[in-house]
Amino acid sequence: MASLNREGPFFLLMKSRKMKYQIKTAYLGKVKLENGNGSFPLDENTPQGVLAQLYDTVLGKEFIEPVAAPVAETQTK
Amino acid sequence: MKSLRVIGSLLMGLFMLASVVAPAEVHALVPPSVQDFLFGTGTVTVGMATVSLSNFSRKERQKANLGGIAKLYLMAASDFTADWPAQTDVVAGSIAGPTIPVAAGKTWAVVTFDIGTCRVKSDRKGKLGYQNVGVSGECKMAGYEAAQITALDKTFNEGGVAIAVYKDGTRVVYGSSNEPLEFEDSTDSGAKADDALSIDFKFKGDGYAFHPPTLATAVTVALTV
Repeated sequence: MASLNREGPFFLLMKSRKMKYQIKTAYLGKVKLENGNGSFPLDENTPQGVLAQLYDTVLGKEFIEPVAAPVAETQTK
Repeated sequence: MKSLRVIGSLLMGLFMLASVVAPAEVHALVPPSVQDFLFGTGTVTVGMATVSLSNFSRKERQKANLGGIAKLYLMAASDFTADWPAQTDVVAGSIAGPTIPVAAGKTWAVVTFDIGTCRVKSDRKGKLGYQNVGVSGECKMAGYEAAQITALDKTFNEGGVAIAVYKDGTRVVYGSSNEPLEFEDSTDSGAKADDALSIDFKFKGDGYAFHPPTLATAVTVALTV
């Protein structure tokens, strides 16, 4: 039986979906990011999807950080 | 050598014949960059760039064209980590970004003004060969409180750059970090109860190579809440 490629695109996608983000404590509730499409307040109510999108921008990384890297699955025999 | 000339003439003749018989098909085969040269009705100058004017006109009808400014953001000149916007940042009147070179964690200050009191202007002037652009802006804020004065004090002898958001959402950059806007303010108590107790805030700048450029949609700015 062929083994699964755990570095393949499917597993990378699943990993990225497991990533959670948070606003850096110093900026929580004090900053909003705005582009030509709208503005996004960075507070407790900011959805994870929005944080993930903003984290992908250069500016977003200054104010948002990943909560924790996904735990690597250990293979059991 | 002679045969080459004959072949070239024949090819040119065939090309011209094809242009008459099937102009659309020939047009489609020719790259867009040389279509004006081959098919244009005007004269073409070869060997030197032509300097010419373009058509300009009013905004098209049946579209909104609202005056006034919806929002105003300010950043101190000393918070920029590189000259911005430089002339190379401005392409066809717009700044593509995607980032603005400000120190880490620095955010744009938001000016909350009375509705319908903010306006910005630019004017290009000067003698031929020495022309440049000047900009200015103003808004009015109700009140006279310690917190307002404290915030205004931070503009004292500190230049900056402004982003004005027009009513249609267009963001326009006024001033630059190496030619910062000068901020000015004045207060007025009014003389009687229904007079406006207010603060006037103004900025002006001079010596820019371009009219205030727009910010591309993708450029993200961080604002102080």
